[in-house]
Parts: sequence; C-alpha cells; structure tokens
Amino acid sequence: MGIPNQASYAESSLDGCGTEQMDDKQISDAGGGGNESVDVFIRLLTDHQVDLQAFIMSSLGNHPDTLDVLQATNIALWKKATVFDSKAPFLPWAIGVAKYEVLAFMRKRRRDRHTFSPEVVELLMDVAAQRTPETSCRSRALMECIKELPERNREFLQIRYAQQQSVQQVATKTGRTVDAVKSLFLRIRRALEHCIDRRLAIDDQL
Amino acid sequence: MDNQPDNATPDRSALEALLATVALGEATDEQLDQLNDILLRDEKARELTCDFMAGEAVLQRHFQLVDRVATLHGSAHELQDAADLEDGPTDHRSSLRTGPWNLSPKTRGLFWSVGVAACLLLALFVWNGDDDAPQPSDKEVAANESAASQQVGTLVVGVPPQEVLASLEKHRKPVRVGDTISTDDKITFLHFDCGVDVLLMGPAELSVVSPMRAELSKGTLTARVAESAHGFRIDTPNSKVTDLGTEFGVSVDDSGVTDTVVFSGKVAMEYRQLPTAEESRSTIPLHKPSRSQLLTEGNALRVTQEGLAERIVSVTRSDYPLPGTTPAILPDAGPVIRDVWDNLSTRDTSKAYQIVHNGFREDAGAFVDRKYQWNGISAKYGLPRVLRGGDYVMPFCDDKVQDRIQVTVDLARPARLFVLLDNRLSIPGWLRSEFTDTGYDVGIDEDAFSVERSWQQLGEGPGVSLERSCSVWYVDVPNPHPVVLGALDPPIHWRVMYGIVAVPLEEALSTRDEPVANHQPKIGSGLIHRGLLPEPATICEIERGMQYGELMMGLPTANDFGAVKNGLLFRAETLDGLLLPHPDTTVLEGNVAPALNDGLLADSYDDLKHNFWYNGQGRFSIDLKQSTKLQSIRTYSVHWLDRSFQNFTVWGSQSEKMPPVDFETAAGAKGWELIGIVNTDVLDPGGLHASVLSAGEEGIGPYRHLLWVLEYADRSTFLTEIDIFELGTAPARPMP
Repeated sequence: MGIPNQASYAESSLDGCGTEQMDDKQISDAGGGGNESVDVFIRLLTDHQVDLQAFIMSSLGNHPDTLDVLQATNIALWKKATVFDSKAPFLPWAIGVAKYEVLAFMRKRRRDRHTFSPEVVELLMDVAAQRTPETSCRSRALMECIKELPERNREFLQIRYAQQQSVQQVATKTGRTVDAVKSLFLRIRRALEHCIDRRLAIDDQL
Repeated sequence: MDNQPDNATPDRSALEALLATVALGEATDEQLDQLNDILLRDEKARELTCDFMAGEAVLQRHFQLVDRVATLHGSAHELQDAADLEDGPTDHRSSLRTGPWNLSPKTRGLFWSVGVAACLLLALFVWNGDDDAPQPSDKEVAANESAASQQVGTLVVGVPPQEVLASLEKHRKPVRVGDTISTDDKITFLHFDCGVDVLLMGPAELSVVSPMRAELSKGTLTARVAESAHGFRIDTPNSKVTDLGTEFGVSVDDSGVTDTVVFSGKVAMEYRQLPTAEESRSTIPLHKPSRSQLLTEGNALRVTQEGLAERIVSVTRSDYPLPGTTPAILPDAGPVIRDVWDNLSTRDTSKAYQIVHNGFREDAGAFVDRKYQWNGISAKYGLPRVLRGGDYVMPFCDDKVQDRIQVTVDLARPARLFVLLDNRLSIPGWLRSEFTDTGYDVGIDEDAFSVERSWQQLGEGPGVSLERSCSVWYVDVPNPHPVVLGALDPPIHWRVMYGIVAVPLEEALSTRDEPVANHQPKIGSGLIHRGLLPEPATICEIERGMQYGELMMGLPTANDFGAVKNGLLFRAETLDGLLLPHPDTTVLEGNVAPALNDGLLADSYDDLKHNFWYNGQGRFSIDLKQSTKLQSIRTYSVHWLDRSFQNFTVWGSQSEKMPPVDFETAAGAKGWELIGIVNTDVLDPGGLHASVLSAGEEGIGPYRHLLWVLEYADRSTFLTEIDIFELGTAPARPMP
C-alpha cells in the first residue's frame, strides 16, 4: 500500500541521482582528441564543482579554508588534465587530487588552529571519499529542499550565507536575539536534513 | 577507537547542535576539542559530520551564487573597462590575458564559486591567465576573434509581439555582435540565439556587445530569458542588469535614469553614478563605486543620475509588453486607473504596484510577488460580468501584514471601484463604512508558493483548482479623485492582500445584474466561507502538536459517547457514488468507516491503516440512536504535511430520519442546523491537527444525527479519530 497521490512528490524527486557514472561516460564518449578533449574536461570539472567543494568542506569544516583548497585543487586538476584518462570516471580521480590538496593545506598551516585536528581530517576524508556518491545525491536533494523552505527561512539563509554575516550581524539585521538566530539556524538545518531523507526515501521507493 | 561502548556514542541531536555552532563560527576551543574527541572515536559521528558539512558547502554555493553574480560582473568588467582604456577597444586576446589571477585571492575564490558553472567562455577566460596552464588553441582564439562578425540573433520589426515568434522565418534579419539597433518603431523584436527574446519599444537604441550582452542607451525593452541564457546582461549608462532566470523590463530616459522591473524570477543589478562630462572626456580610468542589489519578482528600482536607487511605486504593464503576449488595447476614453501609490518608503519595500489596463480576466495575475491568479468561482459563469475587462492593480501579497498601509487609487474617470477581500478575514472598518458588498465572490488560484503549500498547482480557466475565495465590494466614484484604502484587519500571514479593480461607471451601471448564487461557492467546494453560512451553534478551537500528549484539548479516547463500542457507527455518505472515500481507506459493509471512532490512533505521519480520508470532497454521518445533548466534538488528524489540515462543517439534525445530505447551500440544508465550522489552515502543515467544537454549559443540540461535510481538497484530511461527548461527560483538559 503506498502513500496516496505519491506521484505529485515523485515529480519533484531526485532526477538522475546515481547516474553520475553514466553521465561521465557519455561525456567521455562525446569527447574526441584536441580541443574537444579540453571541452570535455572543462565540462566534467564544472559539473563536479559541488561534489569537490562538499568533499573538501566535509574534511575541513571551514568555509574559507575550503575555498582555498578548492581553488588549489582546480589548478592541480587542470595541470593534470593531460594525464587524465577520459575513459575513467572523473570524480574518484578528482577526489584523489583533492585529498592530496587537503593534506598539503594541513601541512602548510600546521601551526594554525583548525576546526578539525589533522587526525580527524584524515578520518573524515576517508568517510567523505567513501560517501561521495551518496553525498552527491544528498546535495541534489538539498537543492530541491531549499526550494521547499518557507520564504522567510530562505531569506534568513540568504543573509547568513550570501552576505557572510556573523551571528551577531544576522541577529541585528533580523531583529532577533543571538540565541534565537542560533536556534533558528539549527531548526532550518534539521528541517533540511529531514527533507533530504524524505526525498531520498521516496526516490528509493520509485 | 570505533569499538567504544554504546553509551559513548553521542546523541545525534547534541552533535547536530555542536556542528551548527561550528558552522556558525561560534564554537569555543572547548567545543572544538569536544567535537574532535567525538569524531576520533565514533564512525557514525563522522558520517553525520560529513553529511552536515557537505550540506554547508551546498548552502554556501547556492546562496552566494545569486548575490555574487552581480559582484562578479562588476569586478570583471571594471578590469575590462580599464583594459579598454589602456589598450583601446575590445581586444579578445587582451581580455583573455586579463584573467582573475590578478585579482585578490578572495575574488579568485569567487570565480570558482560561480564562474566555472557560468559558461565555457568564462572558464577559458579564467584558465588562460595562469602561466602554467595551457594557452588557448588557435581555434579558440580564432573563435573569439570572429565573434565580432558572428550572428548572435535575429531581428523582426513591425510585427505585433504575439505574432513575432511565428514571423521569425519570414521577416528575420541577422543580428551580429557590434550591431546597433536604433529604432523609432513602436515594437521591435530581437531574438538572441542563446535563448533570450527581447522586445524593444522605440524610440530606442540597443547595441549588441556579445552573444550574452547588450547595451541599452535609451528607450524601453522587455526580456524573457530561457534557462540556457542565465547570465544574459543589459547595460545602461548607470546600471548593469544581469538575468538570473526571469522576465524583466528596463527603461532608460534621455538623462540616463534607468528603471528596472522584474516580472518573474530575479535579476542581479549593479549601478553607479553617471560620469560627469569631464570624467567622460578623461583618458584616465575613473571608477566610481558601484552598488549591487538583487531584485526579485515584483521588485522595481530606479537608478538616478546621481547613482541613487529609488523605489518605483507603480508601473503600467502596457508600458512593458512581454515577448509573445498580447498587448492591452486601451479604450479611446483612456484608462480608468491613472495611478496608485501607498505610504510605504523605500526602506519598507522595493516592490512596485502594477497597473493592468483592461486586464481583469480569467487567470489574470493577482499579485506582483506571487504567481496567484484571479478566476471566476464557477466554471459555468466565470468572473462576474461587471468586473471583466476592468483596469486592475496587482498589489503585493506581502502587504497583508502591513498594519498601517494606505493604498491610494487615483481614478481618471467616473468609475466603480471594487475591492476583492479574502473571505477568511474579518471585514475592516474602512471597507464596511465606505463600500457595499456585491454578494459576488471571485476565486484565487494559487501555485506551490512554499513548502506549506507545495501541493498546489495553477489551473486554467474559471472554477478550476481554486484555493481561496474573495468577496467583491464596490463604491461608485462619480467625481474622479484619489480613493484611499486601508489595511487588513488584523494583518495576518496565511491570508492574501485585497485586489483592486475599477471599471467605467457608465459601464458598471449599464451591466445587467447577475444572480449572486452564480458567483458564490457551494458547500463542499473548498471555498465556503462564513459569509454564506448561518451562525454556527458552537465555537471552534484548534491546535497543532507533534505528539498526542502535547495537546491542550486532551487525548483522543475510545470511551467517548460516540465510540464504536457503544454501537455507534460512522457511515460514508456516497451520494450514489459521487463522493467515495479513497480506495485505500477501510470501508466496511454499509459504508461503515471504522477508523473514525474505533479509538485506534495513527501511529505515524503516513498511517494508512488508522485513518479515514478522501481525495476531493467527502461527507459522512453518525446516527446517535437517540436525541442527545452534546458537550463537545473533537476531531484529530495526523499527517506529515498537507493532509493534517481540517476544513469541514458539522451539521446536526433532531429528526429521527436523517434528512437529505446532498445540499450545496445553507438554504438547501433542509432539516439540518449548522453546529460548527472547522478550518485549521492558519496552523503550520504537518503533525497532529486537532479541533474541538463546544458551546459552554448549555451544551449543543439535542441531535439525533450528525453530518460532517469535508470541504474539497485534492488531498483531503487524514482523520484518525472523532470523539463525541454527551453533555457532562467530556474529560477535563490537562493542565497547561
């Protein structure tokens, strides 16, 4: 027995999640030599920016550091473009490069205090690398879940993320207390996690 | 380390709270140490942390993308402008050399945040600034060099906007980068191959700068941008308007003042002060500071010569016909609504009223900040005749919460002015004292505006998928003057702002009255309201919780007077097969619906076993076996989202034989008295919704039969239990 009218939810459920391997292959098949290979490489790199950023953020837990390492990773990937086997899946290879850049970053900044200790970063990298396909699906579900948020919550996140405001600044701007901002942020994140789980569960049923 | 005892596993909720604190940058050293300790020893915690932080990355990317596209264009083009001044006119080789590696690390990060996803050209622009990176191939450079002569679109002149797409083959002229379209024609259509349709209203001058960019020196244009062309940009003397998926209009007057209006989607806008005459002649690059702003649906902004942003209070839609639409034909006598304004400041809102002349018709847009539509209540009769073709104002739905708003409508001719008021609201004093209720209702068709209403869809034409009804009030204004309208009473979420329509007075007076019943919703239609019902015998209290134990009105019970164990049965009233319960719900012989009074409760938010529900309208009754004085009726519903809402009326009859149950109006409810009206739509969706109907110490009734009429909903209520208490038997409510 299913949920009545489930079709209306299915329409907005994940589309193509789990087909990453096929997409990469299709792109590979389309790519030939010379400039077409460049196009294919750029396309792959573009398509997987979210996955790479999610992997690095999962490992470091800090946004500015993540952007720095993502940039270094992109440069490294571009320099290695000529050795990339276009018949192989792109993301595992790119994650491998990103791992190296995360470690290089931790070595370079070994005297700084980071969110996670070097040991924890290594453990998290392993988990994040293993979970890449699942994270990819969760990321796509999250994009849909953002659309489902009430407008007032989206506006709140817009202030928080787009304008990179501190909790105190967000509190001032939205007329809330600091504690209320923290509490609202946690509630929204939990709602989003719940939404992701729901969407993925629906997707599994289909 | 992963083999710690279970009691070392951190609570998920506590870990989420800790991660949120870290993500907000508020974590103390002690909290970071605590988190690291947890992560070192617990694999599940590491998985949760990876999911949480990956989510942070997605949220950062998503919410920065919109705002930063404007910044990206500003930064990139400031460099481009400087390069132009130093090296002469645009040279694609030099612009390729001026890559973002010359920017600050933060800005380089920005390029990676948004630039990679933007387009191939931009990606090359980024890459080739790196000395270590491969240089562009001859083919790529040649492609860029040849862009100046490349056809990027098609021009069609002198064809009505609604016919222009069909005329492309016949009348088209190629448009190339570098072309300037200078026209006095009323309408010129320009199609960019990247997926942008532009209507240019002359006199106007538009230069094509690139396949994705044009400069408007004067005149007005509207653009409809396909997804493939997000990032398309219109530059004016003091502004850059970058599309982020939208329909928008831009107007530049002779002094360079720029008006931008967003009809759908959003645009990123960057603006600055116009250069002075001296600055224009200078060969030294001068960069005045720029500002950026995101404009969303319904927003409108004027950028003055001084580079100041001002709110545009109202725009006339006929000034901004969109590609593919039929422009409004103004009557010879001129418009009825001349202007509209309010008492809000630029600080309060950046939305603009839209005046639509002759535009009030089926599926007409209702608000500038929602995709809601006006429709007639009845599929047969449509909108009331007197309203059709009237001038109307699209206000801001969000104005419903402005408690001191005054909207002034300036009428140009003797007119009948209508206000369309959400029937769920009380009638404000200013409306009751100055206006008269026509008795007509009109409907609002709502889209899936947010998660709270995510199941809603727009229908087409009258009487289709309507969510709300509004009563139509009018005042005759024989001597045209500005009429001031007030605020809703009280200002409230989950309601809509009133609509405003005006028709020429002589037309209104000569329009034959229609029977009001043609324009009033029927009982059960989903749109019934108090104005069409008699005064109910009870008051209704409603409540929402996530657990039964949270409810202040008390737990459901199997020991109420109306319980199945007392031999009382709820029966679905199918009206000869017209109103059937959902096929997955349990219905026994004789249309008995056991879930409603068996005392067994839904134990999940999607429990198909312990709920009774319909899709669409529904009616069910119970025979109390004897005329009974009641104390209260409690109804409980449980669902994870929309099916928790309760929207029904309860009727009672003293007759031994149950009267007919197929009535559609209060007058038709022969033998029935209205006991109560229940609507929980002001509550958040999902979880447990509960209602109680009661009437104080005297009780309700007596009644022999009770009838529930569920108002129409695509996905109707998951009813898990209805408790009926005889007078003096209802359990006391729990203490708060």
